[in-house]
Amino acid sequence: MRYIVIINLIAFSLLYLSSEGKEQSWRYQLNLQEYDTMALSTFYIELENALQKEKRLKEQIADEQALIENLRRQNSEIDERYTGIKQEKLSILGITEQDIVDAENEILSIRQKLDILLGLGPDELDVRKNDVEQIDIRINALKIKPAAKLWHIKDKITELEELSARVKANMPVITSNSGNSVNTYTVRDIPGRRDCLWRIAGYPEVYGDPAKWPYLYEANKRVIKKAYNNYRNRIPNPRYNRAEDLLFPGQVLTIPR
Amino acid sequence: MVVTIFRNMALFLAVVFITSICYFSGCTKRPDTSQLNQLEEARAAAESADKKLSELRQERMELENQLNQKQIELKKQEEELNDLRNQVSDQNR
Repeated sequence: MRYIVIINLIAFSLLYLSSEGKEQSWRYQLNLQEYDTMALSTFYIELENALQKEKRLKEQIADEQALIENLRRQNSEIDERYTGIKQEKLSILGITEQDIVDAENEILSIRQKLDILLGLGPDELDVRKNDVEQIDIRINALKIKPAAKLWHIKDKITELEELSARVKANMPVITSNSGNSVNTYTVRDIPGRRDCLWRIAGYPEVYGDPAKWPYLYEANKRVIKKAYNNYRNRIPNPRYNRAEDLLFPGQVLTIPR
Repeated sequence: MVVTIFRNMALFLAVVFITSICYFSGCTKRPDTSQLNQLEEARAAAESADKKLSELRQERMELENQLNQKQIELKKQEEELNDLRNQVSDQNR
């Protein structure tokens, strides 16, 4: 009995002393290298799991590959049909691919000119009236081309017409009501250069003298104040405090002579 | 009485000790190096297959989107073709 106790004490002491310093590293190895502590039974389970997973994934890969192949085939069929339709359209219109490219280049060129004209003020536009007319001629020439029947060309021509209309809207508009005594002026939306009474009075077609703006204000006081009051009602903190400081595009002003 | 308890405790500890020694010293059967390599390879193969599967899924999704867009464009082209046919037949009348 005494020997058993002594053996146990010695053995536990040895075991404790041998494991004390290694405890940390042993746990470290347990965490990082599961293989070091893996039992054979666990190994077989893990191996079986890995093999099963691989098998299952390979089956899914085969399914995906079949789907991808099918999608590629469908894409290719659509491409063929697309090419066929394109050829048929050219044949119906009696044109070539080059004609479409030419039309697109012409549209681009007109678009660039219109962009330049859109940045100009009324006085400068008045000087370049011929350019605006030329653009109209070019747009009309485009419209009668067979390629203009294609939808995307037609859309672009419509866009050009809209831009051309905007350019024309920026040109000075003076209308005579009766004889030459009374004229009207339509306030325009000019990007970067807001129409105001001072500027309108300065147009050569109006007075040619900005200092005469009070005549315009007096003649159009009712219209200007009405629009300004609407503005005040809609905007809680208005930026403009005086009715004469604010005109709205589309307002028609009477020009007293 | 005390001696009996003490003896039983000592026996229990001896059993625990022997079991522990067996566990720590390698009495438990463990896989050899080749088996561990086999497991490592099996796991790597599964991981590789998993990666390939996600790549294929991504590719399939892209192809599906591409196909949908092409179908929409094709439909538009067909409508335009019909429109052109109608325009030509109107002109010929």
